[in-house]
Amino acid sequence: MSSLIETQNLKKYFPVKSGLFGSQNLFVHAVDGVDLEIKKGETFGLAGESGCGKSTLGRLLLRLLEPTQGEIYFDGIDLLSLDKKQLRTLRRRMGIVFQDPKSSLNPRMTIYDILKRPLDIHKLVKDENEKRERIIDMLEAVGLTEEHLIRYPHELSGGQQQRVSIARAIITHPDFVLLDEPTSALDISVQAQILNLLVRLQLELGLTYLFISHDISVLQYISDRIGIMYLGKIAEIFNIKDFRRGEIYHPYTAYLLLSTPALHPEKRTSEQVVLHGEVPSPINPPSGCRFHLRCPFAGNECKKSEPELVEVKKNHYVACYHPEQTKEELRPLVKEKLKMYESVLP
Amino acid sequence: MGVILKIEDLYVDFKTERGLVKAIDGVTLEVKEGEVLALIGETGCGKSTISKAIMRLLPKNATVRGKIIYKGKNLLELPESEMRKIRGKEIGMIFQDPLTSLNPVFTVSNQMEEMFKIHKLPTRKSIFEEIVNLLKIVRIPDAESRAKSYPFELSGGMRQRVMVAMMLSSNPSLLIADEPTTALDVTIQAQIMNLMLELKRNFNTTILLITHNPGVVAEIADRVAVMYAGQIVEVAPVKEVFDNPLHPYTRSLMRALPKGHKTERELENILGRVPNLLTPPPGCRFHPRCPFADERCTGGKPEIKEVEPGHFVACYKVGGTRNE
Amino acid sequence: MIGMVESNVNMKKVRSESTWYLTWLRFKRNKLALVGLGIIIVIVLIAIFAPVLTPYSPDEQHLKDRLQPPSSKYLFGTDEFGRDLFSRVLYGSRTALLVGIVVVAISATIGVTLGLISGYFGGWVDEIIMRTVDIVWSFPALILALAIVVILGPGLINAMIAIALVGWASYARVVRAETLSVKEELFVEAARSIGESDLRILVSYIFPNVLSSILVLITYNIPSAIITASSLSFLGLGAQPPSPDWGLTIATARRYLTLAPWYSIFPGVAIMLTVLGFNFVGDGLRDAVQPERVG
Repeated sequence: MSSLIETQNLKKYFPVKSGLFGSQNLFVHAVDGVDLEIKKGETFGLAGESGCGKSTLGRLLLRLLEPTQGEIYFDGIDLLSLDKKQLRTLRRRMGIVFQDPKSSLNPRMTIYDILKRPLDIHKLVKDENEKRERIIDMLEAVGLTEEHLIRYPHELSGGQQQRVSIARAIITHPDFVLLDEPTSALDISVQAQILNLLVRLQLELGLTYLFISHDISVLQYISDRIGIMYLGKIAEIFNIKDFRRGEIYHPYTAYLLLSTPALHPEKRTSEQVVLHGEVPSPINPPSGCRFHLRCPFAGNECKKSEPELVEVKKNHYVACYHPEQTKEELRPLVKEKLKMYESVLP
Repeated sequence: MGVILKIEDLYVDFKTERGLVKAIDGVTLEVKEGEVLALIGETGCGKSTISKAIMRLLPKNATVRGKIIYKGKNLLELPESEMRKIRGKEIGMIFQDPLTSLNPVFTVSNQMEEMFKIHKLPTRKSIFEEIVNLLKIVRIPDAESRAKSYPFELSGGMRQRVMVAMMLSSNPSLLIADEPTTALDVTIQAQIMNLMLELKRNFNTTILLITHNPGVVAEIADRVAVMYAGQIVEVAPVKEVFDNPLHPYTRSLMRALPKGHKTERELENILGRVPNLLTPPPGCRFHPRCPFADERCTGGKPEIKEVEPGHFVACYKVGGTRNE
Repeated sequence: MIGMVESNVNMKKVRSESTWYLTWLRFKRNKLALVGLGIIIVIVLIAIFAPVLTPYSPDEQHLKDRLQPPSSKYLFGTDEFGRDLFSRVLYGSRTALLVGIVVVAISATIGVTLGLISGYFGGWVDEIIMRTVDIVWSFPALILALAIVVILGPGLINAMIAIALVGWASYARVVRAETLSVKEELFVEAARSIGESDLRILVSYIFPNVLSSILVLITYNIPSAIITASSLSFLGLGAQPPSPDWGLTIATARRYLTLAPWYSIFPGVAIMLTVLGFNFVGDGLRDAVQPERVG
């Protein structure tokens, strides 16, 4: 498979003012050197705790934020070389769906107007009737009806609002859709509807997804490959098959999975595997491996220098000095926990 | 095990300008001493309304009928002065967003001191030492200096620990935890859930856990009550709910969990959406979305019945749904 | 365009509720605001139908009936030239409303534009605009207006320009603050993600969402403009005789305060009612636009 998006050493630092009169200039290292490849037609899941930089990374990929350093290629196009106008034109090929459905839709526009804007901007349909038909088709594709056209966003439920957001993102038939926690604000049953919808649309329209979530359970369901972020860096990238087999090489990935609330009462998080401490500040990330302060396997080398992201086996990348030890020691726990994804009711 | 809290035939209506919202429709529920009972349901099902009704913190436009019996006393009939003694001291509460429940202009120890003063709690040592001790119990590192911090200086997980510590100071018999971990990251969430389990173990605190997240339920609940549109549809031990759910709604919910992979299975689609409680459907409120519904379900509201030992269901079709 | 959409589905009897409609629902609940709205409507009607409602022309002199107390012939009495005060007070509403509308139109246009630009683009543009606002705000409004009128020369039009040149600053500041918060809403980012231009984002996404705050400000701004204009007229720098302007009338009436108290009372009451009406509406509107939903 060829890649749709590729980044090289991507960095984004946000300045924070501190000290008297903002005299000290500090930076939040939100994204701190990320090499990522998203292949055509796949769903790439990106997981991590709040503040790890996953949303920032997503926005950088669409150049909704300007990176501090690095390169981004979208289908071979150097995204950072484009001027404003070229970039706006290219936006037809990318969509985005956010976590908060209510805030994602302009409260002063009807659903019809919201969906019409992308068509107008990119002059995709000229005839007004045709436009209307295309919008209705789109609404029906996401499970809404013509009746919703004249509605305002606040008249819809959270799930319906999210469907409108999805419709807006894909009405221009993009290649790539960034899904930034699209189901995190929704109830379980609505989440299931939206996940089903996203899977169906991907098959029908041949979309490529970057699915950002803090919820490993959702990601393991929808992703083909998963990347784990910690403090602005990628800790591990693996495909879903390795994950299913419990082949996890980075301790953070393992602990993230082990702390995930069980989907079955017999697979409760055991107290021994609860990760202690909290994520350190991204303003002054720890030296060496960023995870070493919370890592049970941390040795001297982890404190001194930062591990590179290397291919530990085919298509499996990890940034850790102790990948084999992690895999061997945590695999029994991981495999036991993974069983919670199996017991589906008949 | 004794029953510490008994809700009997509770109705809560909200008067709004669009009409009467029938938020709670005849809820009966027992919380047993020392257990973790999870009240699970989706947005707007009324689970938080129940917690507010117990604490008598409902807004003025609410009318409440029924009984809420706590240790033999009907809370709905107590004078406000009695109720104030119960709130915080007998029944503690923690919320989703600890930042809004902490006063931003006071330090952690200031606020905890208040608790000691309001409820005239006995102290063995100085109040400050007592506070530091509590902060240590909830595993706040560097407790002495944290006690002097302001809420905004603490992370979300820390703030939730402070809330738990505050609640601990009065050692309540019942803790109502309303979405206590929803705003937290999973690794922090796991820490807080552990803390709650420790409370239960060490202080025999009864916990009424209110959540929309089946994962949290699976983690710490002993029994589960499932709510839908203001009614309780099923009450059962936690394993039963996950392995042998009897109500069609619970079954759908369990099948909507993201288990398996997209290439193997589609998640359960519950058709339609949650009803508008201004005009709730007659009879069983789930019937418009239920694949098994017939005339009986639209007629009268099904009673909640014990169909297996400890397993209660409010459905005319139980037995039928299990074998489809 | 939207009309076409509606005509196709109206058989289903759906009613779409815009946020403006919800605002109106909340506004309607506020009795005082409705009273205020009633007062404003009456004043507007009076201004429009003044020639029909008044028994005399405002400039018609009845030299025999100078400084008459209120009677059935002269409802509010007469002034020192024997002009009917009832007619003059009614006609005065035209000046008052004209001042309110013109001042608000000028200051809101300047202030809203600068506020949107300042809040949306930030940086040095923001710095320049906001420091200018600070300068304007560092003077008491009336004193600054006074200084400008002195430079421009007395007269109603110059007074209105002066008041507008002072008044835009509050629009700029409010709109900037609102823009800063609306800018953070995800729908603005979504707009960028579908390729909207900055201009379009300002006009179609940010402006409609700060409009409610602007409307609140306008309803408060109209009465204060009327008062400032009246004050300038009172000081002889605004409307010039023989205009039936309320402020000017009070200024003249001051000389006959003991002799003909009604002379100053009626225009005073007119100013008060107008100001009160707009303020009631402003309060109601402010409360009504706050929450996004009803109930």
